[in-house]
Amino acid sequence: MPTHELEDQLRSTLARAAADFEHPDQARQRLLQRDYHPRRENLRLAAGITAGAALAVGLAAVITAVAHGPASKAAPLAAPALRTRLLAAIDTASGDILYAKGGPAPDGGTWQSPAYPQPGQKVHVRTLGLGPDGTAFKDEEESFAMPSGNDSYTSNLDQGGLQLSGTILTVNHVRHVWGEWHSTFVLGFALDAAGIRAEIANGQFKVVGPAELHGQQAVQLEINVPPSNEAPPHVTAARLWVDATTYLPMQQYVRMSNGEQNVTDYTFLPPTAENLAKLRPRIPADYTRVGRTQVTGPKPKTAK
Amino acid sequence: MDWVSDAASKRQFEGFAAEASDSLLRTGYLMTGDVREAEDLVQETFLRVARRWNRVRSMDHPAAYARRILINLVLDEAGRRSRQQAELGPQDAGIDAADESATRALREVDDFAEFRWALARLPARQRAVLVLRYWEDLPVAEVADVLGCSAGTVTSTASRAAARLAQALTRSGLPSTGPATRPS
Repeated sequence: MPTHELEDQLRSTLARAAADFEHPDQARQRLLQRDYHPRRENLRLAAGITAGAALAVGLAAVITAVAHGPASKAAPLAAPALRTRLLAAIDTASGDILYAKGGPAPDGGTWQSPAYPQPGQKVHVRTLGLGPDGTAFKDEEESFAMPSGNDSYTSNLDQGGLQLSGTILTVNHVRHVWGEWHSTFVLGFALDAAGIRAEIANGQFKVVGPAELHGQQAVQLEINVPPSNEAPPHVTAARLWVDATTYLPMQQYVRMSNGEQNVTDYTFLPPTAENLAKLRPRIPADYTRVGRTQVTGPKPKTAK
Repeated sequence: MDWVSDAASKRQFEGFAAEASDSLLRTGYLMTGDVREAEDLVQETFLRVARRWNRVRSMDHPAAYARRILINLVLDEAGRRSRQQAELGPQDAGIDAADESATRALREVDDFAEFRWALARLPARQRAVLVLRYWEDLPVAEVADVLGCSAGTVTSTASRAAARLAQALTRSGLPSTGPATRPS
């Protein structure tokens, strides 16, 4: 233990060093003017990492971004601080419902609750596929408990998706039937937001710079995708735009080795009763509940 | 979402932030040696407190909870950096807690930019021990609680940190251990 004399000297020196803080009132004012209220409905959120992206890069040293809150101004933001804010923003929205639109299914979309599930947490994912005329051709809900393990997002995504065991509810609008059963299945893209969070946490992105998206100020990030030895198609480039005010992801862009490009927009919805209802497929009253094979199996031959 | 949007809760949070900001800013300043980083740290701390405000406001000492968040933010960042960097700081072995010389070195400090530079060169946990124990004036047991270690570790770390600080201040040849840049 340090001597009393040394302890007293440490107290005295630290106090004088702390008092050396220049313009603490200005810093306090800036801090107190900021809005710490968690982001609200219809904030555009997004994310930028997809299955198969095993990424490895450090953070850029310093970027220019818009500091948090309505009273803030453009200011250089250290990359570690940006990473912290990104994670904080995502964590803030973790209990929300994530609505993803675009990507491989440009019509309809996917609703997921919670947006960033914790291991053991019950997750619901609804996928609605709409045809060009707006008619639903697929409406399905998958419910499962998030697997445990810190690497459950990325390592499994690298292998093509999360291996899960849970309940599937499917509405077949062609046959006017629906069914619900327990099953094992692989969930791929629907959880890419969770994969994105993992990559941000690992610092595996670099900052491109300020940008504008949907009329909002954003920060563009680039996910460094290393060369892949996997069979095509695999991800060759991934970009992510985050809101410059809330630091929530807004949009992701992914380019595949076969030239395919996907853009997905994200919206975080508060878990109100109205929004939670969007997680459940709509089952018309005249539809019949049937077994799994009758919902998903080959269409039965009709006698001529 | 834990934040309660009613006006009373919001006012309560604002009151807390107004009261705690000065101390947190100075703690962040000592932990980072940089005014802007300190402000970022406090902002991040407030964001996290706000998210859990319903629970935090019922605590006996919300400010202590906020301080813990701030310290952990620094330690987390330091841990991430140390994992990313191949360069490791020198081991403490061979650095004796020469309290007398440390006391003398501290007494002679008249340039606080130099002092903050030396402080920033300490490993994050050593820095945290000094700041919590001697700037925040927390009891040893409370420092141990914040850092998740034993009281004995706190006292031994304080001794090593003081010795190392003194060596840095007297430029006794410690190799560079961190990202801090020397003040001009």
